[in-house]
Amino acid sequence: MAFVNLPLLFGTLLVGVPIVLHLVMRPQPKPYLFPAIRFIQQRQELNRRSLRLRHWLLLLLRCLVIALAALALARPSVSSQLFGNWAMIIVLALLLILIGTLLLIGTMTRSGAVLLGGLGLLGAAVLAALLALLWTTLRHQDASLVGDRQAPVAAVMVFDSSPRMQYRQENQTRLERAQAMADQVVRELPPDSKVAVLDSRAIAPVFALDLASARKTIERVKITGAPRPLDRLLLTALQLLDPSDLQRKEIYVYSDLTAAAWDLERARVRELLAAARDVAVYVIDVGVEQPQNLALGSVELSSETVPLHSPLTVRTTVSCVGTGGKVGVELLIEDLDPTLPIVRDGTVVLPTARVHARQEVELSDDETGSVEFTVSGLTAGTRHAEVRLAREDALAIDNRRHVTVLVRDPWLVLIVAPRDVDSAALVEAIAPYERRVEHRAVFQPLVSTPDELTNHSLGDFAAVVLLDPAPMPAGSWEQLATYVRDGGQLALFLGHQAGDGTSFNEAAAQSVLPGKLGRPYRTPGRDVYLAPHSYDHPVLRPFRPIASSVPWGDFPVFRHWSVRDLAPQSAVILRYSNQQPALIEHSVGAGTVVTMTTPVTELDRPRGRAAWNELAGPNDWPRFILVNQILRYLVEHDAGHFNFETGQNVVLANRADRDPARYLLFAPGGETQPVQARDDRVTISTTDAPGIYRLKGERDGPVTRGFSVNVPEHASRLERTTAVQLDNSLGAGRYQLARNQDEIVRVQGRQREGREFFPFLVALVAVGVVLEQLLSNRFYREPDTGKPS
Amino acid sequence: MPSVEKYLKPAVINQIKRLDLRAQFVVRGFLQGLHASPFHGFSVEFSEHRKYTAGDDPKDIDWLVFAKTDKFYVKKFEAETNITGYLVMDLSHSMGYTYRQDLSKFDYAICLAASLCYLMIHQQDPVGLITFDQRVRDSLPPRSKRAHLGHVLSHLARLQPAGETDVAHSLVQIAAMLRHRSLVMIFSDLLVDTPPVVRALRQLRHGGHDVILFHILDEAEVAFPFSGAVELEEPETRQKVRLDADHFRHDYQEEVAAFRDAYRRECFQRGIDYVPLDTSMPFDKALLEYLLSRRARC
Repeated sequence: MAFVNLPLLFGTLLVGVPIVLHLVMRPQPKPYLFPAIRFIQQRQELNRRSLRLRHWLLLLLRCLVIALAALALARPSVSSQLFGNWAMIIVLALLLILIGTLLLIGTMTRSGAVLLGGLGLLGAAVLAALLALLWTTLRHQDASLVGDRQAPVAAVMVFDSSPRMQYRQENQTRLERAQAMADQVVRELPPDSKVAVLDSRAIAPVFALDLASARKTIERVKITGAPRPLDRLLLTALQLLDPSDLQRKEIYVYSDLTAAAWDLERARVRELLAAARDVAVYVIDVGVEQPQNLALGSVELSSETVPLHSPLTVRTTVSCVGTGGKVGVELLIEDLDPTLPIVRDGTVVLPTARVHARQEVELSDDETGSVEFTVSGLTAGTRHAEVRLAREDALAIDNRRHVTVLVRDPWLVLIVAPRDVDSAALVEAIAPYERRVEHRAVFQPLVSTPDELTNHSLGDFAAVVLLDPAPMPAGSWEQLATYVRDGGQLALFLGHQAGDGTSFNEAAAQSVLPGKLGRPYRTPGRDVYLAPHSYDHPVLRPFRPIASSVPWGDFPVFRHWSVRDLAPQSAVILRYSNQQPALIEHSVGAGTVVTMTTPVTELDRPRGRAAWNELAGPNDWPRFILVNQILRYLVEHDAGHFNFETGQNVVLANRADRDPARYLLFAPGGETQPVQARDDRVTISTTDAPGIYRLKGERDGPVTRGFSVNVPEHASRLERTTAVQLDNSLGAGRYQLARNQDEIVRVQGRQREGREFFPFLVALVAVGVVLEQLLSNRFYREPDTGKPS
Repeated sequence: MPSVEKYLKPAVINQIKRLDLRAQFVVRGFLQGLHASPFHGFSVEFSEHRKYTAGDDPKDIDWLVFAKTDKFYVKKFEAETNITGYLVMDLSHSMGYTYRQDLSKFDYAICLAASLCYLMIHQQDPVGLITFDQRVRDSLPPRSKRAHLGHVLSHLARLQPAGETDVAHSLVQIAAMLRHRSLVMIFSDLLVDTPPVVRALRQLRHGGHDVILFHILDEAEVAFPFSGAVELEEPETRQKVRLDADHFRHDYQEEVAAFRDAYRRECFQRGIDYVPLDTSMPFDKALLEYLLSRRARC
């Protein structure tokens, strides 16, 4: 509780005046001789009692009126949340006084014990309720600072600077509107106030030196592609305000109040806000009630690394908020120009982007459709593309999506197979003849025997495949181990050529194998087959949509190697139905080795021995996919990603022996920034703005690389948060909601000054005065009869 | 001479200092006021009827007898000479009380007694005077001579209210003193305990005496004109009471009314004429009461 005119509260001391008048200044009675005193004596006692009662009643009423008048003039106010409590306290106090008066009257007039007892009980109940309410109210009271509107404020301006705030209405983005309102709020803050500006970027906020610099900071708030949720911003704001010396602390949250602005930490925010009752929270809603928006969803690519001549599929969704209609979606592909980008005359010159395809989607209200583009004939290099809506709408941020893919020559794969192993089956599987002829094959296989292995420079191959390897000299194993350690990829398909496996358990072979080979597992029946438990691994991912319909049981495995003492860094990708490992992945140095414990090129009926499996049986499409995926996984494993979400740390592989050591980064806004490669990596952490980031370096001529950054799909969802959700986030009654400047001023007033009791008290004083008049008139009225004639 | 009637007002009569003149003015004013009243033959008593003869005043025809007998009779009156009146004066200190400081209860009583004495002596009725406080103090034997008027008046003029009083005891004494049937006119404020007084009155009445009780209170004792906080002191006992007069007035008036009602009821039952008076009331009420009482004796 606070008082506008605190000194006037001393006016309550004036209640002493009627008391002094009553007790001290009591008039001396006029003496009269009067013989008929006998008529007086009989009624005197009763009369004296009732007279005293009347006097006390009037005295009480007058004291009450004076106290209430002094209180009213002092203009007490309490915080809005506690106003109801205080009003109830006053009502209970008046009730208590009334009951006390009735008790007094009852005692003096010697009323019935039942009546007095009832009144006493009622009074005790009211007193208990009053004390309980008073205690509860005072407990919450301590930190509620109200009253002085001009006291300096420690304020944190929290801006939701998510991409949604770019929503444009009345030629003003939501952020611009928020900035204008915040500027006005700061302008009207009391002098000596401290203001910090906090936006969705992950920057540690500090209090501005003065209000002018705070306003400048507000002007500089920009949309960030990687917004932090409002919950976390609020937590930061609370932490910032906590050590402030100023007693009045306020947080202004400028947001479009979309549901996507909040995170899961709302429970914690609610707790902290409930604890920090000295912090007033104003939520300023700058959002639009019924937004209209067309949005492109996340882009799905067939692959981020596309072999030359292979088609690229670009899939995305178009969602509509509000009224639907026909929507044109365009795919633009940038020309490949290794000399660009370049800064010419202070401006960044970028390669030209041309419309490659255009589709139209018919959407009804609030519907989501999808579009798919297929691009083929892309030349090799880092290629940038853009999917965009043909027309602009209120929220521009989700009207375009950027795509970057690496188009490269087919991966050179060395297939090492003993002479009696059918390597052609594998070659056909990974590079079918038709594709090889048309230069559209993903892989370019080269078949070799183990004896020729030393003749090859393995570093030229993206991957090496050992098909059913026989025991090899230690030198060959060491060559392979060196290759893998240097980042090479090795696929091992073990089979009958391994003999009893003992040579594979020697140190040289073990340097690339995932563990020691045990006895081959044999089963005459068809009860063992490949049985994946989950399809999470990239190798198995293509099976995921058809997981239940893959006929693994049609391809039994009769024999396979068992592996024991698995290396610690190894992982089993696929198991047989007998739970033995079928496909094992493990890292060796910078490279990866994938080992399959049964061959994939087993003939249907091998001569002189039993077949190890029937994987290559008729209609063997699972084997086809599996082999392709193993190799794809191995070669793409190192290829990296080129498409990221805003805010993510981007790490690109950068081999010191073939890539430039220094790059110039061209960010989407046109800013350039030098980037140094370290530890075979280029790391870029400033990816707040969506768009295409280009890296340009020099190594035997210009080298251009790049990647795309897009805002997350959920960042542009415009569904509004409901009042209930907001209450859940912040706590009901813990914040003040305003939509415009007037409302801000009003809720500020309500929060800072609290609600005044003045009208309430003045009404009570008026009632008290009227009662006093009525009572005194009744007590002191001249009787109608009996006047001396 | 209509101006004579003004002397019936105590405020006016108080300006006349000589008691005989006061009595004279009061009675004259009273008689003048009664000029056309039905109490025409107040000074004579009815004795017999006789036949109407020419020359008789038609006023005297007894129409009741005419109604019964169809004959004219006239009422024949003769003067009564044997009503002995006693003026009994209370000498208590409280009788000397006056709020307005002009006419005390005692003055009022003396003035009234003088007037009655004057009236009776003029009718040749013997009048005596008895004064009492705690007991009978003085008594003048009843005489009907004109000279006796002077004695009575001069005695009355000398009386002073002082000390405490015992009305009941004094009345018992008086009842014992009076041998013949008499008209006892008591002038008192009766500010004593009621039951003994009532008993004494009964005893007096039992002795065959006609009693007129002039209960005289000060106008302040009836109206209670005080306001604000007052301290009232009883003059005889010096007992003091503090009270708020404004609040008490109503209660007080009720008490006084109850007190008077008690006496009125008692007196009515005993055939005593009770005349409640206060010092602001004109004297004619008291005189009329006397005449009514006297007439009832016929």
